[in-house]
Amino acid sequence: MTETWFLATLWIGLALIATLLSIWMRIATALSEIVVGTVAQLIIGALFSSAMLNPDTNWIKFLSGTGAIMLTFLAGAELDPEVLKKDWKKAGIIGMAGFIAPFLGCTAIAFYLLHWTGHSSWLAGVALSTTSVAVVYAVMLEFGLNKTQYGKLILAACFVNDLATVIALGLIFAPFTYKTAIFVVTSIVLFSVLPWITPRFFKKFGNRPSELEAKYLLLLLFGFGALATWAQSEAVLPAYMIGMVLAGTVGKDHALVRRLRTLTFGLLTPFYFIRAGSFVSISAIIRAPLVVLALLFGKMATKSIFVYPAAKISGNSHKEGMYTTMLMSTGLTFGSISALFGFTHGIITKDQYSFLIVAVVLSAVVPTLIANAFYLPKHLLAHQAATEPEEKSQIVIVNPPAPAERSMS
Amino acid sequence: MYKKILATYNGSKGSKNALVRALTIAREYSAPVTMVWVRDRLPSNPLTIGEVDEDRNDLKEYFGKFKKDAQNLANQYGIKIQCTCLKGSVASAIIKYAEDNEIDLIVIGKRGDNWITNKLRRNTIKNIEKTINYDVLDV
Repeated sequence: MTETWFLATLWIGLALIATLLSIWMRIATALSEIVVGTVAQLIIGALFSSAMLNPDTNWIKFLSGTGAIMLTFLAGAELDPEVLKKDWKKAGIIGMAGFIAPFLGCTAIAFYLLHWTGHSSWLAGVALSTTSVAVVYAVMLEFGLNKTQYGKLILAACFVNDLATVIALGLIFAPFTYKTAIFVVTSIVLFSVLPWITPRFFKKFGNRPSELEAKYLLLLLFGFGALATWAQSEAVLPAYMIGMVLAGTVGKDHALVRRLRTLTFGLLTPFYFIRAGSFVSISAIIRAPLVVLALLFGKMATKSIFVYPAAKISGNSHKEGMYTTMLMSTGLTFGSISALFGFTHGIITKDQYSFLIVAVVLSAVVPTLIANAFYLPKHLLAHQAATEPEEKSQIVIVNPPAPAERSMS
Repeated sequence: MYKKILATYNGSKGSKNALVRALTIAREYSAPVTMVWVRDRLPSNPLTIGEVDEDRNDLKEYFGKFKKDAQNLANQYGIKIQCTCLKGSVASAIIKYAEDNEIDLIVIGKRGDNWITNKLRRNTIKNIEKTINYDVLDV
């Protein structure tokens, strides 16, 4: 047990360092955790032993896997079902364009340009087809676009994009056997009853300090995770679907979601991202940086070729279309989950994994910088400002006294 | 001489001194005062929408505290002040606000709470002084 506690101390210490770095450098905690994982493995490997960090220990794999599942569940639960229902056609067109284009395009780049194997190329396509819904939301919120019809449409399209990515990840590499059939049928049956059972169960037995809701959800996630991996699929697929089907119930319980998020970000996702970073080979990146750039720009270019026309067909202007395209070129969560899945299942090599992770991390940063620098749809902001009431207090000066001493530097 | 005064405030001792100085000068010239807090942008790479919403609510709460502090201080001088939250790079946000609102005097606290914020403040003041034609009082 002493070794376990020591290892846990080391990993949580790294998580704490990553959090402090993210605060000081004003970067996302997930990014700093990946970087810390990469650097820690390098330094610890050089100074002590490469086995010291031990990312393949069972309990670390369990916590890391649970982190990925919880994160995916929370992402699915944030869907706004009303928005998707209202604009499902346009969201579907843009979302599917956002998935298919980079999926096929990056697969082709990996296969024909980088000479990866067939399976590795498909995995690259899946990892680079993602869109970060949260990044798009944050940017939209910052500029007030989340309240516009355009903003809501783009968010709905991002959910569609990510759903396609998760389904592709869960099904492409799964051999289609009786196990897959059992997994699919069981999922369909249970997903149809969950939205009915869950709120009733919570209402009858929930809302107590014993956190029945969290235990119930973990039961579902672990159970479906077991079923998925038994069918040689991926546990995040049912996690995302469970999140989506419960978005109208669990997703609206902000207090519950907040508690789950505390558990996820406080304990679980650090293990996931640090572990993801620990497998990155810096020497591979140094040897072939152009591979990373090819994958990154491949993602952005393929998104541009197909998302832009789809956005224009849906009635957006040039600037709005390009802004949409750049935002939908972001992606961190599912990109890193896909890459790690590929590496841990032997679909891609360590070098290929390193290229993909770095490309995914860069895709979380570069497109938003370009979008905000060149394609910010200011006319939408002006319209938004005109329709929002100002929140300023009145200025009144009462009984000013005699002149005070003053000095200027 | 001064028709409109802007003071930056972020809860630090330096910025409090700046606000007090601004209020003192405002009393002398019967000029309105605007307190400005420049916040960071929302997290650029969040993992979930909830994380973004939480950060946004935290920022609102933060600004609410600064607003209350500023109003309490202004009440002591018998002045009601306007409080505004800006976002982005400090110097750029202040410059833009000053230009858009015809501010005559910008009062900034020179000293932060530690050596990092000291350096940031001195850089901010230099950037502002280089760019605009208004008086800048660093306190």
